[in-house]
Amino acid sequence: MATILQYLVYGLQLGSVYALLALGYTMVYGIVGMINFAHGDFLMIGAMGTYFIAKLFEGQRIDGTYPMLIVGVIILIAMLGTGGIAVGTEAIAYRPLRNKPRMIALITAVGVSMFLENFPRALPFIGPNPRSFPTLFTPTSFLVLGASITSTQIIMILLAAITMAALYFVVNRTKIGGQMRAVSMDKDAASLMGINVNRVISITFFIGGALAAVSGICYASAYPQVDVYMGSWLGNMSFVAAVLGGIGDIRGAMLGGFILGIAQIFATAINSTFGYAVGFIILIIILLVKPAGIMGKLVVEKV
Amino acid sequence: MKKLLKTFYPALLVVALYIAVTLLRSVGILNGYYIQVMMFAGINIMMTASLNLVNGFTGQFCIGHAGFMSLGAYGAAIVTTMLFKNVPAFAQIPVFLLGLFVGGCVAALIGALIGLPSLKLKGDYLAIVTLAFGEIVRAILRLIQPIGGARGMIGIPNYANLAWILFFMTLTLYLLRNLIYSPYGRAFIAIRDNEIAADAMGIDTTRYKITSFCIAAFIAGVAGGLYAHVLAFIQPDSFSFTKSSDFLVYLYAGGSGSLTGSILGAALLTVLPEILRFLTDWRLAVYAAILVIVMLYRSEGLCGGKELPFMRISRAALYEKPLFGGRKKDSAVSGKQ
Amino acid sequence: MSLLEVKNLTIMFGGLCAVDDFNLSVEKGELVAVIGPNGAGKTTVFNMLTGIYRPTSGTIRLDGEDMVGLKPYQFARKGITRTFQNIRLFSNASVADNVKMAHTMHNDQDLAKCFLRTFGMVASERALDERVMSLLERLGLADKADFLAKNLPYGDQRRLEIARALMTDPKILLLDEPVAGMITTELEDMAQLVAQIRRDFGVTIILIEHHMNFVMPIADRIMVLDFGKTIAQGLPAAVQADPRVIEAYLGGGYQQNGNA
Repeated sequence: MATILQYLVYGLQLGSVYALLALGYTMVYGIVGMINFAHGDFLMIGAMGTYFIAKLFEGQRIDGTYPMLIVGVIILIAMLGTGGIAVGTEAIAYRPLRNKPRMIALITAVGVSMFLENFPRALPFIGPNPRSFPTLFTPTSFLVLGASITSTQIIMILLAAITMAALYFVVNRTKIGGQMRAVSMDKDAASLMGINVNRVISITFFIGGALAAVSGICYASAYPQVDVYMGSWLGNMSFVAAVLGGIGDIRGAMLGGFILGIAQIFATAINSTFGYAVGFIILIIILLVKPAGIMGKLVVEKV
Repeated sequence: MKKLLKTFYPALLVVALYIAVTLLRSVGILNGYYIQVMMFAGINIMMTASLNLVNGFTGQFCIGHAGFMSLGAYGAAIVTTMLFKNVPAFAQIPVFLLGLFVGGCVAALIGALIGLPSLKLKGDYLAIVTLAFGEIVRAILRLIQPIGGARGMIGIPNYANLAWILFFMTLTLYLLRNLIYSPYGRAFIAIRDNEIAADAMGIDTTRYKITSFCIAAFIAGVAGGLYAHVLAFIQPDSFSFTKSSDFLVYLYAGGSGSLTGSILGAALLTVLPEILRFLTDWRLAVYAAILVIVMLYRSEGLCGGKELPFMRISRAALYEKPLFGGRKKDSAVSGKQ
Repeated sequence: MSLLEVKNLTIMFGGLCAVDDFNLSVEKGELVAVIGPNGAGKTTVFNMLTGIYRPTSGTIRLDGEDMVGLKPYQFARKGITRTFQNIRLFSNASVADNVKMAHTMHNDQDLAKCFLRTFGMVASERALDERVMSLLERLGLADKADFLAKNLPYGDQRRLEIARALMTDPKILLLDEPVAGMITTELEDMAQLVAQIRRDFGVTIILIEHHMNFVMPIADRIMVLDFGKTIAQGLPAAVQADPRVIEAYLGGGYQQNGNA
C-alpha cells in the first residue's frame, strides 16, 4: 500500500512534467496544425536557463537554499526567457512555412530541434556534459501512510496544477483565449473577423514555451541533472501523451500526461526498459480503440 | 548498341563510379574512411528511397522507419553469425544473401502486422503509431539477452563491401522506378492525391497501403542487413527515433515524391556532416542551420518532385521499339504519339 | 428486373433524417436526374449509392445483388462509379495517369511483373495508354494528356472527372452536379457531352443538378427531393409544372410560371 502510494506520487510528479510539455504540443497543433518537434528542447532551454539564472542569484542563498521570493523570480525569468525563445523560433523558422505542406514545417522542426540541442552544446560555457541542477527548495520529507513525500514534490505538483488551471482559464475565459479558439477553427475566417493571427500564434508559442520552462524546472528538481539532450526524449514522451489524450485538446493533454507518467513509473518498477516502452504500448492500444485519442473527436472528411 | 547504352547507362555510371573509387583507393587518394562514408550513403539512399515509397508516393506518414531497419539488421546478423562459421568460403555469398533476405522478410512481416490495424488511422495518428512501433522494437531488442540486449550484438561478419552496397542500391532504385511507373505505382499515387476518389474508383486502398508499407519495410530490412555487415556491430539504440528522423530529413530535403530527390538528399546529407568535421564542436549546429535554411528557401526539397530522365518512364517510352526484336503486335503501334 | 433497385432508403445523422424513404428504380440506358434545393439530401443519396455512407435502413440492389454494407471500392467494382461535386482529381498526376488510375481494378498485374517491367507488362501498358488516349480524345482532353490535373482549367477538370469515371467501365454513372460553377455557354457543352456519353458508351446515368434548364432537355425522368423527402417524380415537363416543386424551389407564396 505504502509502495503504491509512493509510486503514485512519483507518477504524478513525472505526469505533471509530461502534461505541461504536452500542453505546448497540443496548443501549437490545435492552432497552427503542425507537430513542433522542437518543443521538447524548450524544456531543456527552460531547465538550462534556470540553472544559469540560479547561478546568478547564488549570492542570495541562505543555508544553501534560495528564499521563496528569489525562487519565484528565477522561475519567472526562466518562463519569460523560454517563451521569448519559442516566439523567436516560430517567427524565424515556422512562420514563413505556414502555408506550405505540413510535412515541410515538421522537417524544419526536426532541424530546429537539432540546432537547439547542438548550438548550446557547442557553446564553450555549456558544452555536452551534464550539470547537476541546484536545489531550489529546502527539501523536507513527510511520511504519509508510510510513503515518503518531499516538499519539493508537493510544490512541483501544485505548481503544475496551478499553471494548468491558469491556462484553462486563459483559453476558455479571456479575450485572447477566444481569439486562440477562433484561429484554431479557421485562420482565414478569424483574420477576416479582425483577429491578428500572427499575434495569436506568437502568444500561443509564448505560452507553450513558458509551460515547457515550468516543466523543465519540475523535471530537473526531481532528477537533478541537466544536459542539452534532455529535451529530446522527454519531448517524444510528451508528444505521445498529447496524442494519447487527443491532440489539439487541452484537457486531453493533461490527462494523457498523467496517465503516461503514472504508467511509466509503475512499469519502471518492473523493468526500466519496459518502463520506457509502456507509454508507446498504451498509446497503440488506445489509438486502436479510439483512433483520435481519449478526448479527440474524429474528423470525417465530408464528401 | 546505342539503344543498349541508353537503357543501361545509369547502371554503367554506378560501375564507373565503383571502378574510379577502387582505383583512387589503390593509389592511396581515398582511404577506408571515405569508402565507409560512401557505403553509408548507399545504405541511406536505400532507406530514403523506400521511405519515399510510403511517405512520398503513397501519401502515408511513417516516422519510425529505423524500426524496420533494426529488424532487418538483427535478422540478417543472426543468420550470418550462426551460419558463417560452419560453411566453406564459397558458400558465404549465398548465406549472406539469405541473411539479407531473412532480414527483409522479418521487417516486411512485422510491417504487415502493424500495418493491418494501424493503416485505418489517418495522418498524424498513423505517424505516431509508427514512431511508437520503432521505439517498442528498440525496447524489445534491448530486452533480448541472447543477441546482446542493450549492449548490442558483436562479431557480425564484416562482409558487406562497397560493391555489394552499390549493387543493392542500384537494384532497389531500378525496381522502385519500375514499380512507380506501373499500375501499382499509380494506385499508390492515387491514394496519396485523393484517398476518397481512389476508393470511389475501385482501388482497395487498404490493400495498396499495406503493400506499399511491406515493400518499404523489406527494402529497409535489407538496408539494415547491409548496415550490420558494414559495421560488424549493432545495438538497439542505433535505431532510435533520431535515426528515423534522419531519413525523414533526407527525404524531404531531397524532395518527396521524387526518387532523384531521395538519392540527392541522402547522398548530400550523409556526406555534409563529414565535410563539416573541420568545425569540430560546431559541426552539428551548422548542419542543422543549413538544413533549416534549405527547408525555408527550398521547401519543396532540392529536386522539388522532379526526376532525372533515367528515374522516370515517360508515356512516349511506351512506344519506343523494344530492346530485343520485339513482337509484331508491339511494333505495329509504335507510330502513335 | 431493373438495373438498379433502391427501396426505402433512409439515413439518420444523430436525430436528423437526412434522406427519408427514397425509392428509385432505374432501367438500363436511362438517364435519371435528381433535383432539389441545396441541402435537400441529393449528395447524401449518392453517398449511399456509392458506399460512402451506410444507410440506416433500406436496400440497394444492382442487377438483383444486395449492395448495402459494401465498401466504396466494392461499389465501383460492381459497376457504380461517380464524379464529385467538389472536384476530387489526383491533382499531382498527369491527365492520362488520372484516367489510368481508374483502370487499376481491371488491371490486377502481378507485383513481380511491375517490379521487373517485363515485355508483357510494357505491352499491356501500351494498350492501356492507347485506350486512355482514345477516351481522352472523345472528351476533348487528348492534347492535354501530359498536363498535371491541377493545372487544368475548371471545365476540363470536370470533364476529366467524367473521363476517369468512364474508365472504370461502369454500369451506372453518377454525376454529382456536373455543371456546378459553370456559366451558361459551358452548360450547353456539358449537356451535349452527357448526351454523347450516354449514346456512345451505353451507360446508365443518374445525375444531380439544380440547374433546371440543364436537366430538362437531357433527362428521361426527374425526381425532386426536398428536406430528404421525394416530393415529385416523373417526366420533365410534368415535374416542372408541379406546384410542390415550384414551392420547394421558390418558397411558398410564389405563383406558378417560374423556372428556377
